[in-house]
Amino acid sequence: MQCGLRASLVVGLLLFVIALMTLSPHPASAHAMLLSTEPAEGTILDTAPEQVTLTFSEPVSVVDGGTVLYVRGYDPRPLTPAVQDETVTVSLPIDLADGTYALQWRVISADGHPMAGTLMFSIGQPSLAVDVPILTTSSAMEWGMNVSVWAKYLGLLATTGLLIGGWSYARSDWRALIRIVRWTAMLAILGAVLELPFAAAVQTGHDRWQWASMRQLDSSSLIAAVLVVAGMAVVLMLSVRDRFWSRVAATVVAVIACLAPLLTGHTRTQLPESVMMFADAAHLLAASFWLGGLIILTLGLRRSGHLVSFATPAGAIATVSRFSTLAAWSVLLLAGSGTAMAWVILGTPRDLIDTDYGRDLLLKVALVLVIVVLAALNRFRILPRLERDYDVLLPRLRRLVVGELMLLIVVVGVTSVLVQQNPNTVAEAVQPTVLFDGSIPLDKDHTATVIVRDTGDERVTVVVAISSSTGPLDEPLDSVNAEWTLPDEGLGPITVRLFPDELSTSYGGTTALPSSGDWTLTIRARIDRFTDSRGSVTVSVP
Amino acid sequence: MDTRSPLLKLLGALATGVALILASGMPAAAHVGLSADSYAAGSTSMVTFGFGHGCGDSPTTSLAIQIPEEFTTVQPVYAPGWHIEVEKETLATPVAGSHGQQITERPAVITFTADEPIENGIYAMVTLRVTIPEGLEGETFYFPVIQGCSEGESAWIEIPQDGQDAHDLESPAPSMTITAADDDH
Repeated sequence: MQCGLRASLVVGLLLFVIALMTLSPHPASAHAMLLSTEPAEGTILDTAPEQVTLTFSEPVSVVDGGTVLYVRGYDPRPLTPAVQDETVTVSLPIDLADGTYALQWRVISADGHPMAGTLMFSIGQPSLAVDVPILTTSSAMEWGMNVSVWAKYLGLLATTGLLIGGWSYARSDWRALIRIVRWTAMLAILGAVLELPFAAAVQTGHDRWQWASMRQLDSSSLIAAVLVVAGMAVVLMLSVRDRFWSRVAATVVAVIACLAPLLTGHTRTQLPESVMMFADAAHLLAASFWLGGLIILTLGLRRSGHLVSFATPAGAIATVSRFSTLAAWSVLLLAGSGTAMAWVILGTPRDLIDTDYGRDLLLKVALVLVIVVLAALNRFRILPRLERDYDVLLPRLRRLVVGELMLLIVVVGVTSVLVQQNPNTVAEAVQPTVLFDGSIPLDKDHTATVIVRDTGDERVTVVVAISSSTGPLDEPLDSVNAEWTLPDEGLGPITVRLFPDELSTSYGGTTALPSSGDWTLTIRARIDRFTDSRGSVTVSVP
Repeated sequence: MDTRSPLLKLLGALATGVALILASGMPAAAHVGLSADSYAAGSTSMVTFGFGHGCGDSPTTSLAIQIPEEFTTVQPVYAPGWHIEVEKETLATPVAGSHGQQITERPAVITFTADEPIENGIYAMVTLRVTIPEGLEGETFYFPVIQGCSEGESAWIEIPQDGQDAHDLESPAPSMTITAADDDH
């Protein structure tokens, strides 16, 4: 038993050290953004290009099955991209027909954030763009990841905070604290292990938990996970025997494991890296001190509390006072390091309001402010009078401390969401507006059902379905055109060929209209070989 | 779309204006025409379809003519150098012919296929012997034509809408107006 324990302690320490040594410095840069594409978005090319090049602001990795070429009328084609640092090259098939193509891409930035987008370009003549399925990661996987990260952070911060507390203001309670540490260390291990498959699913865009996709996880995520698991396992093993040196070792290992999140996330990719590393380390340690302290206070102030430090009223008051002073410094450190990191991560103050990241950050700050107010109540209103009125004020102090602890756990949860979020994502997306939606009679037997959308950039899309008085048409029509004229300014006709969709049930095409005004839209359909039917409607183009 | 500058709008309008002037200054657009604009009701007339151009530069290989429903008695006229095919359609209600016989079907599409492609610039004609229906005086009928060429085709199938002038159409369908019966019939 003893021997087995020693062996596993050695293995754990070894893993921990190996993980530490594998930390090669990454090239750091700003957060990944798509800088340019070749061909550019919306380009109409005379001939099919051999390849598409996407250039990002930092090195990225690609996801299997994440690059798909869409064109109306054909099955989506998965393509295999090649990646060289920040450049992703996608070789296109050689047999591309004329029309409008949508290349959907998906990459993972160096800080582990998945990024996806769609590049539209046309060969020869533009056709109706295919509706590319929007890449959304299943929210179940995202929530799974957030909850796992939350558990990991809570476990790591609490473990480290409890051990630091055992060295500073609650020295007489090491044995009691190490019993709690066993649970918090397990929580950290559980969170770190569960995070991997969820993170892999989110990064690769799968909606299921897949161990198989974990091989696509970036190495720094894996090393960080190994660091947390090995570190916490070592702490668990060291907690079995209470010797001075095992205390020191457990604390040192816990602190290092607590800093594992530095390896991933925004810290790795924001400049200047040294500032971010230092600020993030200070942030994590201050947070762990605060969280650990609130756990110790909550347990110590219980009526049936077993902690020696709180056994007598005088002892409890002294312990709370010592923690309170240190906690004030840790809050200052948290605020300072947090502000520094927010300054670096967010480009402008407007991003606080314009991005999801900014809004979540504001929520976090608001919650922390509530905790600080509660802490200030403790420190300045209750603590000075605690000695005189111990029995009355103690329950009040305890309630406030429990409230602080609960709020701090929520703050850690918000932080877990924040560290997974891409700070560059703007919250709102532009939706096309419908300019016309109705029927136009083409001749005595045929009717066109027309939807006109303003897709932005002065472009409009027309989608037409044609039916006869006896129902939908059996055969696809040879040609359907939209003609735009602006009689007021003598503009047009601008003729747009409308191309059939996969089932030939509707026809569509996009064009740029050079002016706003009341345009006349004429739908012309070759109903049969000898019949050219048409109908017109007025469309107000803003 | 308000972002467009007044200068761009002006340039757009100017470009359209120049295009219109160029278009109106060109010789009458090539098209497939009939030998006459109007035919007397009840008469049996030779209706000739003539064209002097291919599809762009591409030589003409065929002419497919759709016959309006109201015309039940139509015969292609023998034409050396052309192969003729008549696609018939059964009438919903048989009508009485001029010699007392029942007419149960009518030619719907008559296709003339040239033995040798006719070069662009050579004028060529095909003729139908048409009994002009009675009781439809004053009305205009359209004979949509598909001109087939070695490369591509031209569809002379556009019919003017209410208030539209046939001369404004890019590729109008040949048309005839039925006039009152001749007295000497």
